[in-house]
Amino acid sequence: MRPLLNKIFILLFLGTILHLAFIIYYPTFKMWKFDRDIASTSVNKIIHSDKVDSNSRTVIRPSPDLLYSVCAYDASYSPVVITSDVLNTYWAMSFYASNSDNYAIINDMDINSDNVKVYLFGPNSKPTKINDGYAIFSPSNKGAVLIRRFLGNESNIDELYKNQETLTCDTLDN
Amino acid sequence: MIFARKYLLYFIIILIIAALETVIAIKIYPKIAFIKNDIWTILPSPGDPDRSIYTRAAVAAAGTFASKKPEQAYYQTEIDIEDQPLNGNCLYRLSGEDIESRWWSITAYANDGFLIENTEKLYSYNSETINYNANGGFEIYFLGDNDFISDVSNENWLRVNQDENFNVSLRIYYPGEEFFSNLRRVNLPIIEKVKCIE
Repeated sequence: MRPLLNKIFILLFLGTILHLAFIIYYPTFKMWKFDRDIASTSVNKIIHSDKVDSNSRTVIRPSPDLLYSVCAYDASYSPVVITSDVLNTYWAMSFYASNSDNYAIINDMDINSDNVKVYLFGPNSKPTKINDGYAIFSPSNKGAVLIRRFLGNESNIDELYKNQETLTCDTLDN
Repeated sequence: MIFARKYLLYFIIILIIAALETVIAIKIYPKIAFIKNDIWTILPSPGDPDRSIYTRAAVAAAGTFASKKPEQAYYQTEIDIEDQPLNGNCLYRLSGEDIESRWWSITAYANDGFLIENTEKLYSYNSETINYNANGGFEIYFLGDNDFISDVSNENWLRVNQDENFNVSLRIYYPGEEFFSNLRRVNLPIIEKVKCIE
């Protein structure tokens, strides 16, 4: 009887480990898939989205009230530098780790300037003193930066599209 | 050969146990983690790095890029005030008061979580595009049947797919710290069924 119980216990234990591994790594898989679909050839490059509509299938539940840009970053070998003009309306730069955690957000209310420069350091980077921008520390070497702009009543939509063009995302080495 | 077959059986049992536990978690998790406010449900910290592994997985399954507090409160509903599923064969009225925040938006989604195709290319109303009524509140109608258009002319309305269920998201940007400590009780819009196709 006892060997059978031991066997059942071991099988339950291993099943639970497998279940937890799936739960833990599923978000990382989804981020990896997003990187592969969106940015496989464009790491550390900005990709702009047009206004989302019913044909938009990249991200589930997209907001039609936002104009998006995204940079899939890789800070393994060098910090990544992101620059942009900042809008007077809602404008936010959100930083996502490889497990999809939103570990930092900078928005227009945080910035007392018309533009912003962000130095994004990977977990193995040596901290560097930054005098001309924000220093953000990513918990993973890879991840994504998502920029959201509020479309409102779209009276300033040209300005929002122009704002997309001011965005850069590149390694510090370049 | 018998030895290999035995371990293959063990492996299959382990896979079945893992799958069962995942199915149970999917069933139980929403009841534990989501906060209910009348017809609306919300995950209190969908993007925060200190969220649970189950919250992280649920968010990844439903959208991947969730914001941490206090950027956004994100409510969803797929039912009306009578606890019935929202369906495109009926006309619904969402009514509410202006929501104190930096801005807010209300969006209708098809069952698959994507925006609903319509010739007007109108998918949502936000705090700038909504037509407020005289007392400062607002109404939005959801309709899947063209016969209902005459009922909602000159109103805020969104198209949904006929014969299909749909769901509605309410995004509230910067509602304030107090809002997040009161997610269960804050005043939110309600959705009532007006009539259905006979």
